[in-house]
Amino acid sequence: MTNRVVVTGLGVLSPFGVGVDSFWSAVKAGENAVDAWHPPGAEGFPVQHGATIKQDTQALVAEELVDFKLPKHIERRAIYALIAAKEAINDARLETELGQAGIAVCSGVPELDDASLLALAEQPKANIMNYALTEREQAIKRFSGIRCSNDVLATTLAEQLNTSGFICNVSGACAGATQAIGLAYRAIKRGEASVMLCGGADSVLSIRTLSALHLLGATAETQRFANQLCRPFDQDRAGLVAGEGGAMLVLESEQHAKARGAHIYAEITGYGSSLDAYKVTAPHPEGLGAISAMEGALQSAGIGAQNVQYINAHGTSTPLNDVIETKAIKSVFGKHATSLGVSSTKSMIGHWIAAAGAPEAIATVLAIRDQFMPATINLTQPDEGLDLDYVMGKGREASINHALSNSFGFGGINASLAIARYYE
Amino acid sequence: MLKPVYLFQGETLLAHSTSLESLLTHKGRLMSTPFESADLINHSIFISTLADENLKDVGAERMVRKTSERQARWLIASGVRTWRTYFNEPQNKSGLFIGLGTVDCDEEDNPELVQEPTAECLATAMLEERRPLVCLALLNSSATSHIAQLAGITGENMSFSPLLSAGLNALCEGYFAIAEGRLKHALCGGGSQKITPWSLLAYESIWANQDNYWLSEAASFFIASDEPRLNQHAAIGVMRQAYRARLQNNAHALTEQVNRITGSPLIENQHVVKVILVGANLEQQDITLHALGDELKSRAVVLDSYVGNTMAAATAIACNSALSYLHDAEQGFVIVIAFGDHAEFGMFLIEANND
Repeated sequence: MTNRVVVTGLGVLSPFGVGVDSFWSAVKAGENAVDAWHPPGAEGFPVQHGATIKQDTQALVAEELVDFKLPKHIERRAIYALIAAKEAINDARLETELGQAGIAVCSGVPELDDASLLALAEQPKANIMNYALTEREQAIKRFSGIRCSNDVLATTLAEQLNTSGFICNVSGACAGATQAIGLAYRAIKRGEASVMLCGGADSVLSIRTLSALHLLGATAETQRFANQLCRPFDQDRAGLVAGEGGAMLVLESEQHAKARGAHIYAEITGYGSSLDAYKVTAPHPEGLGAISAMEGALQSAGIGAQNVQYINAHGTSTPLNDVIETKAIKSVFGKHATSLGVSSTKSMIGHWIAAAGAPEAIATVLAIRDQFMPATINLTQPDEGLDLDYVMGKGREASINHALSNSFGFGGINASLAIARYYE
Repeated sequence: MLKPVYLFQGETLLAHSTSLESLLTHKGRLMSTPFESADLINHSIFISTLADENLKDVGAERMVRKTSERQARWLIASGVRTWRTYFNEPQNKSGLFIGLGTVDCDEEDNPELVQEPTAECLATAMLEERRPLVCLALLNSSATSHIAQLAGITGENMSFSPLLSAGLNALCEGYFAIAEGRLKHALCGGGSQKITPWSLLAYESIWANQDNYWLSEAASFFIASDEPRLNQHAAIGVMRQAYRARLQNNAHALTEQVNRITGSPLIENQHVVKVILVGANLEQQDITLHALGDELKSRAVVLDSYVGNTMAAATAIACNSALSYLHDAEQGFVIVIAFGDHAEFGMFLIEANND
């Protein structure tokens, strides 16, 4: 006997602002959060666009987290997730019933913020580490990953919310947040937890991390399309456009949710994950890992491919991903692949890297609630061989009973969630 | 209905090539030295550090070596060697579950490369093509990808970071994947965070609040499988929680958790060979040993006193130790009780299977 797993709370801090409403209304309208941006003070930096959180971190804390007693050092990504978590918990009306909840989140690699690195760089070269240690309180900013471990988001949530369920900080590259949600789904399904808070927060909008992505050749850098640079599946796509934010979901067993009269958005019905075991630098050319993840999600949901109406694609706007993902969808769905709607939310909010799967899962849940497929914006001419229905340009109403949300990470780490309209 | 999960002992990498077996039988001792950087912040920390792995013995191609850094190489070496001890070819329905440290910039010495403390100079330094694949080396889950590639593991997977609870969660997920029938074999384990001044900055609030703290670099793996083989012991239960209590009476909450284990029908009237405590601070040790009662207390082993705090490797080392203790036992159990750094608490119950 296993539990059905339902979604009862959602929270987002996105480049569109604080809150699920601002996120979803913009996504439904096909708005573009990508804008001209470069790291402050580095005008000549090769990356010239991003989907950024406009509010200052300090201001966000003052406005959104006054009731939290934050640790002495906390990175801004944890702030993003805390704001999203607070909204998700309030949305689920769970404030007083969180005690046994588990926490499964993902927040990416440790953040060595530019300001702290520059403060250290002011020191004589031979003395930097000594200075960093002895003058750490002055040298390193409060909102810096240098002085907190990368599970600060998970542990701060647990401590602030006084939960006693298990706590997980998932490291799964760009599939991390989807893996965290998948873990939460499985924990509730088996009865290990009744309530899980899951999702992620990330940002790579710093000189150090964007430089690393640039050296890998992953970032879009052409000026040709201005802020319409993130163009998943388009013939002129040129790489990922980084975004940032935090997104959290409350999952519950159906029994727990119904017992307390909770509003149910949708049901998580399946989850699949896989490894390419191919190369750390490129996805498997036949998309075997992506195929396996999607098939795993369908199998665990107990549905056939023909039951799915919508896929929220990984859709990174990189030359390789979009070809491989399309190929994998065709392999899994066969003739039905052309009947599906397949869209990329990243075209609007950029790539949140480790956290990417969290806003995309929320978009999928809301697509099912509103029976509306969000668009892939900036897609004007699909590339050769990319011939699925990518919901080009404008979202549309559609009947959606079952959907997948895909995440395929660097190094061939793949995850796919099956999400369905909830029926008693 | 959960399936039985059989555990196959794997490799544990410890400093100075010390064998885990020699520590458990008191024939060897793991050496440590003072961590000089900790003196700068007025804390006393001792460390045992691992030698680098060149990965040639596991047949890693140049790209794997270029896109991995030191702590990833410990994981790749010990993980792949463990897998190949049992499997010579890729296995259907095989998965991978790892506790990882995080990767920082110490190997790059980033701030030292910046000529002037301006954003433009920082960008110039970071964009220099010294290591074009540094992005993948910085990504701690690259270790997962490399192990998958070298071992041919393509199934379900989950990696966690950065400290003890990361390894604990990895082993729990591996156990469930086998017990619930999704996988046939899972490579489970973890590797410690590498110990550097940068990690001291990140973990000061955890590591530096105790006197004479002992940190050890390590990596450890075992294989979980649904197939029994002769002399492979079975994991018959796992549990994970936090013992944070609403009234902050953590001692009471921890005692309750230990009582749940000792009162479990799974071990009632059964012979307990050992109780292994791992990751417990002095207060947690006292509370746990008291709650265990005299009989179980006499069979308790505080693993950290042998190997130090091995972070995300710790729970896998404890499970491999349990398999060693059960080696000659005809029946009975080893209970592994693991403590995370934020009141996380986990239990593994491993049964002898020497029919």
